[in-house]
Amino acid sequence: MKTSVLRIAAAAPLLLLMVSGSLYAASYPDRPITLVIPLSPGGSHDLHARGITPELSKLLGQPVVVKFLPGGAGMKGTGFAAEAKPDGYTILFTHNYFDQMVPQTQKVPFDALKSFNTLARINYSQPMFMTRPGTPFKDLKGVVAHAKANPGKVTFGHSGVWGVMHTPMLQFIKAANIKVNFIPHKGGGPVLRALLASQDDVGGVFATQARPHFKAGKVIPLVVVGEKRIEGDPDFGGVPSMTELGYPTVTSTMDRIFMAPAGMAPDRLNKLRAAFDGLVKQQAVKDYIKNLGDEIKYMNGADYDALRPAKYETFTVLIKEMTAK
Amino acid sequence: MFEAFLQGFSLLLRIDTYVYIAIGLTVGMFVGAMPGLTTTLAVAVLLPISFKLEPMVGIPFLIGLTKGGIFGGSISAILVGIPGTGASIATTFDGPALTRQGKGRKALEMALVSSVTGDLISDVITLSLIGPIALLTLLIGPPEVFAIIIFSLILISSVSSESGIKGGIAAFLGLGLGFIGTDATTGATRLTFGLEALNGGIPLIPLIIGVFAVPEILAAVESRAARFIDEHVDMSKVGDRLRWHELRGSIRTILRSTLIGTGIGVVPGVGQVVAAFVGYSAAKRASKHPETFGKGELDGIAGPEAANNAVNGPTLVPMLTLGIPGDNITAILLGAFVAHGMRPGPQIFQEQGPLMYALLLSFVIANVIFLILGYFLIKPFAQAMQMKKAYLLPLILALAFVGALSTGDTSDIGIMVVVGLCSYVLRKAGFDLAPLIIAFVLAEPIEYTLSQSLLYAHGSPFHYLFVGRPIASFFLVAGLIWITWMTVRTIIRRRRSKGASA
Repeated sequence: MKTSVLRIAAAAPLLLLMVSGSLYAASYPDRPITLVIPLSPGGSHDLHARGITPELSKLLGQPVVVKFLPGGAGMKGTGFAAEAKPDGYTILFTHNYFDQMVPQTQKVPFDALKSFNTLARINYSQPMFMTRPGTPFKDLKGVVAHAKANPGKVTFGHSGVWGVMHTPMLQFIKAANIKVNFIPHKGGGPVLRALLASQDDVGGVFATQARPHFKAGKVIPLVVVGEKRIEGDPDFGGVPSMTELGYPTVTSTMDRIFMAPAGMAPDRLNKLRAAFDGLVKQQAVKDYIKNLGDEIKYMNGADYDALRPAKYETFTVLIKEMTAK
Repeated sequence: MFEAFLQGFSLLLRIDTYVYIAIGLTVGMFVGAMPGLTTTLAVAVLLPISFKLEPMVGIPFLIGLTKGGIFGGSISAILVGIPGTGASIATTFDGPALTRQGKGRKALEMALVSSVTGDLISDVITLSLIGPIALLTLLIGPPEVFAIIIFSLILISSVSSESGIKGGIAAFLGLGLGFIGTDATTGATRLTFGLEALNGGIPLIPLIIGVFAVPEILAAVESRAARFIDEHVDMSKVGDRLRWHELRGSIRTILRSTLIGTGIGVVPGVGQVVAAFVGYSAAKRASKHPETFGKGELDGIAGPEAANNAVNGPTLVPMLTLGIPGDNITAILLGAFVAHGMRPGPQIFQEQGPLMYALLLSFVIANVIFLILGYFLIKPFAQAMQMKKAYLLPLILALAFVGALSTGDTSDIGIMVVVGLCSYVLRKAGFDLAPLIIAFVLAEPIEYTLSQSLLYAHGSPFHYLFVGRPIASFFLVAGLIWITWMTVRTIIRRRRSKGASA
């Protein structure tokens, strides 16, 4: 008799713990979620996040707090998220170069493909190569011809090594079999500045940033990276795509993606993915992102996860070729 | 254009703009005064509030935060020798000495007047010359930035009174620390000694706290005095305000530094830190009594404070006219513009002229509001220094840790502690650590602009420099002439004094 009472007494808290444990799991999230951005405040990821986090908070019922961890070519913030507990309370808002490219070019404390699951791809941006008045070429064909005649002379400005502009440029010089003079800049703003200041002959720029300068006649778009043109763009809709111009391998766009550390309980992962599925349908989010000059081009997390190994492999090949010399 | 300007005036006839500027200034000042809580952080955290407001209220609010925050950084620099930002490092040369002499409030008021004047004049210059400044910023590329940094360093070092060898060692240490992390031109990591926490380089804020706050706290613990203020100082005079004649004595310095700051503000990526140092050096060089600098000289506050705030006007120009931010804070401001549906660029003054002029005018008005607010808000900060050290020190120590953690990365605390202990030892050995910080801050832009310039030069640097980049050549040659002249002059003086003694 006595022992059974003791047994019950011992079992009770355990039982309680189990019950509360299952309740705890059911009530995810029950505290604020940290959204790590491995970039500086003020950039396009920051601006996207400002429009997305309030709606995400509403859908999940908990505040989503942004934490900026820039530095080390994005690896500081990415490493932080990779080492966080996969409990659904730390998620990452990044892009494909930090996800699939940079981890292959430096020593990082995580395995890029195995350490993360995609929650959602919000959209992607197609870079454009632009020139300025005063260069000896008006189109991409001219650039190739000039670069062939003057190897290593044409200056190509990009926003950082192995980054969003450098990568498609590397794909391009490989496809066109030309040599150019790459000039690294600290981010997209300085690339545009160097182009406007006539320091660089060609620069990699996004539509949103280039638009006012295009209207003022200071930059001349040559080509848009990818298979298709930027459909429906009032200013850049007529710019030919790489595939159209005969360079189908120059495809590297910038994908804005939300990631979570791998190993999360499936119900939490699904809950987060479902929240993004719902989020992008909301008019407020659509309007907000349109106001930034971008638009939603959604892909759900599972679909993007399926694409990651192939994208990673493309970069592996590119890095090998470019560092072989 | 003039019509747009007048329409802009009418947009300013609303009280809430000014209320929010005042709130921004006050919050910014308190945040900035906490060691390690930076202006950038305050602006980033409070940005969402500005999104909920109309542009004509939200953006002036952010400007208020920025201005208040930068001044707040000087408060801790003056009172306890802990600069809140890189911009107020030069203020630590004379600030704490003045505080110990019981002149803390005078120093704070001098800093306020200098900051506001520097900012106001540079804003007015910017407003009236926005077109020419925009053209000028495009003429300044990597070789020019490199040449101007080197020129500034020559100016700064030529008036430094500290031991040349120890200063040089400190500067080399700073350069070495600055090169740790990811090489921005190749993407490779270097000098990390296998520590992944160092892949991103050493962050500035934990370094500043380590170099300045930790030794300051340890030194204060060591000294047996119960207060920061010297014992022989008459405590009844500690709250004395700045006098008219003291301000008049520094007017030339304030104006000179304003011009220096406005000029340096045109150069992208150099900014407030360099301006403050150059402003200080110029004030010392022009002074009739340079020997009092570093021992508690009000001119030594006016010099850097006017210069670092005068940078603000011109740094806005590339952001407004090209849509390209010059530093972290203007990057966040640009974000605020975009989120409010305005895309800065060549046409913004045609498309949204009245609003743009109204915003720029509100920046000017923010200075006037700041002068009035500061007049009342400075007193409690100055009074805090009369607290017993036994209460004040733990408070500063706690703030130092919070500040190091504010970057969000726990390994930064380790960096702060290690740097702090090393700095304490170095200070004991008689090293001045200001050259370390300035070298650290400039290591990256120097290396980056040099490697960019060499890429542009494509194998023939001298041809590229002297044929293609006249502005850069000018500054490099001027620097060389300056060094030669200083050396020749020193030799002549030595010979003369030898001749006189013989």
